[in-house]
Amino acid sequence: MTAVSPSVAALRTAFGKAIERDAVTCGDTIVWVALDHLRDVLAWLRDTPGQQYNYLVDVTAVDYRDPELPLEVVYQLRALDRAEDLRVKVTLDKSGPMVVPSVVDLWQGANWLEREVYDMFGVSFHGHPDLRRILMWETYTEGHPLRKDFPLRGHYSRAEQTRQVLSASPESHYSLEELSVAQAWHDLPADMRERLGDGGGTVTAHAPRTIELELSAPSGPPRQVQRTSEGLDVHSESMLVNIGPQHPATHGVLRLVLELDGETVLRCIPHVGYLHSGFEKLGEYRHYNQIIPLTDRTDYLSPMANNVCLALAAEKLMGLEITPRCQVLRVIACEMSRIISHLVWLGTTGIDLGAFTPFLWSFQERERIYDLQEMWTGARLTTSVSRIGGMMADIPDGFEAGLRDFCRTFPDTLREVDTMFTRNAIWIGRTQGVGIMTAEEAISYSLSGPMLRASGVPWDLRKDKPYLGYETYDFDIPVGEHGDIYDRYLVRFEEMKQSVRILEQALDRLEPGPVNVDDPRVILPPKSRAMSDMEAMIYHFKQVMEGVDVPAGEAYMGVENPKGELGYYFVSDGTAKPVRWRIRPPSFINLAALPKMAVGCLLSDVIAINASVDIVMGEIDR
Amino acid sequence: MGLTPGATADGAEAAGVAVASPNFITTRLDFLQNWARSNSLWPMPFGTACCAIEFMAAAAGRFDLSRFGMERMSFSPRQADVLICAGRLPFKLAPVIRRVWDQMPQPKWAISMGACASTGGIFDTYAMVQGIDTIIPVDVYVPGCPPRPEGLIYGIMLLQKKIRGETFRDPTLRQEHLVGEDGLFLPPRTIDEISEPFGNSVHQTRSA
Repeated sequence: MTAVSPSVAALRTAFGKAIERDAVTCGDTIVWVALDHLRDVLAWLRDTPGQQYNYLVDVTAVDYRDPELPLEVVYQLRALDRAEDLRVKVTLDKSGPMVVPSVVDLWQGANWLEREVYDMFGVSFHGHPDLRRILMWETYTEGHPLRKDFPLRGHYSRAEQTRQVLSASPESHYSLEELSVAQAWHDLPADMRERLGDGGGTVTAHAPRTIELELSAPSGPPRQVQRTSEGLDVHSESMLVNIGPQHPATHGVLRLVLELDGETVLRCIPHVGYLHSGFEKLGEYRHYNQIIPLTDRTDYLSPMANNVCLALAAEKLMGLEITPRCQVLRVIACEMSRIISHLVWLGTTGIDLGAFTPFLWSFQERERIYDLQEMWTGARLTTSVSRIGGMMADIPDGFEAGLRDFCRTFPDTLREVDTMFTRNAIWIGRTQGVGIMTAEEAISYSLSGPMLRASGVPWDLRKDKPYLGYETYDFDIPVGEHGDIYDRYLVRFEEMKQSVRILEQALDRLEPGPVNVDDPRVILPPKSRAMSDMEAMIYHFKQVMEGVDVPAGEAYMGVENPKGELGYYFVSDGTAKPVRWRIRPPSFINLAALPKMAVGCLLSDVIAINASVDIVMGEIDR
Repeated sequence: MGLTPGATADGAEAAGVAVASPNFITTRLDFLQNWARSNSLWPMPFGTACCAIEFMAAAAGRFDLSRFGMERMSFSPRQADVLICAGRLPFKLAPVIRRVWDQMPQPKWAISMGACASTGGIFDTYAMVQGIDTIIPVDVYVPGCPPRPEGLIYGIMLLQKKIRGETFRDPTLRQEHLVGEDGLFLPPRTIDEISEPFGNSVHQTRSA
């Protein structure tokens, strides 16, 4: 995989000088494009037959430690048909105004990603419909945190930071209770006034699709909600409802501001960032192995899968081959994570829609996996199970038997859930035909994971860009056809069954052998040797104090996490700490489609749609 | 009790408040009131991150918080007794927890669950409050990252023990500690002091 992508030659033919240079690092093709031609190149790559990079994986930026080097904005593109990736970069001079054309009209998914780059790096996106801070609050004055001239702890003292945030509360302008738009108008944040004031447009409620049990599907034409054309009508009945950031149905500290006409949602404005903890910045101050504990705490519903992804990304950067036993152990870790993550989704979504019992069932099953995780890693939740080049430990005695027992009995619980939900009249009534995303919309919004597959796009990284030897396992990828909440439920439900299948096969493949690679530069020597052998002690000391040596370069590694495609993008300058650790957060990008799904639905449907996205705020806000 | 000043009877006397001496009736009344309060705490789960998952595990079947009279989660602060901050608290969320705390009626207590809520944990970054005790008063700190459900339950039992030691004769106990005019709950110097990194060495430098 060291060949240059054929797209580069085609690009050079089509654009000539505008393609500044190209390179291949760690199997990824990178193309540097002149800023003036960036939009044309991206549009060309998306639309030209034979290229068709129709999926925008990620938009991010890199600020190098060397102040002389320019800042880079990075577009990670993918052609879903050919499973081929291409990274397009544009360099920006930090001394001048940094403005890049927006690509939101090419890919809807770029909306929040570009806002994040603006927030974190201060890069403006010309033509972006709604460019404002997303993770930090709007009145944040300290700067753009991921720039290298921004200190890890910010510019101000802790007391000053606390004072600013407590006295300039983002909510202090208007009450958290329900307000009519007219009453709140002058107190609304400027961005919301702009959004509400632009008028025009018609919102069409989705026609409910015919459902199996012939439930009470209201007949008649879809409801038309007219908006006035000359700006906001202050005499209208529309009302603002604020949900969150502290609300039981938002699955964390998400805040939704809804504009309602009666019970119909006219607009839905999510506010995220309430759990922004600075993971990416913190990672730049740590050795690669020291980042693994951070990954536990991003998507804390599937910590082991995150650990594995980080190790894979670092190994891709270093060109390291892992042992066969380690591969199988990592597959076990990933699939266990998939099951516990989907179980939380099942339990909490059940609560949101009024069913409490599945929560108890799913947590009962989670406790059994927790026991196994604890047996293996010593921790229930924050596992840190992987290391670069191996695992933190081999599985202990009794783990295999315990996991086999789980695989044997877990389907019984799934059957109970199946009896309770799949043909349940209330469940079907609340989920079928609600929150629909078509396949085209799902791709345009860069959805991934069960959200994408429920919309009928058969894309799963385990099958389409296999890693850890997934291509050798026998399992099926469930794909929905309607793209509604019910299909997302079916997809996740089936994925749990398939995970059990994979786990059983993996257990059968566990051959005795070494877990870690035999390389003293990346794997710590055993403690007994480090205490008695001089050479082992030196390696031990060097690794602990200086970290693992990583060559200069960059690598993007995407894995199929329970929420969707989790990607870790490392940029290394050859030192022990990465220049940039980018998390491609699946639920952040999936959540960006919430306004699209929510508009036209009823207020109660918003709760169900939000639950169906399967968000985890630790990963959205990072 | 940490940072809340004057919360004991001694403190009340020091502040010049007349305190009646305890007698049989007041101690029995205290006992009855504290018994009732400590065994029916309604938690307000301010769950933000990883710890909230362990909090949910504590509420679910195996650990079963209802044994402590706590199964009634009060998602509205106005009907809650104990705020459990389960998870990280970034600056963006600081005004929210302050508002939730102010909305809770007395008597109220706060549990800081986990390393991040108690001290900022591993997140000594630009975005994180270094301990919720710079924003609201805290009664019990539960260490761990995240604490196991047993750890949380132990913290709850400690809080119950603390409640059993309270007396209604102490007028300072139910005092609201509001944010001052400068917008701060604690003096700036104290905030800076407790936000410093800690460890086994007082000379430990910041990791950057």
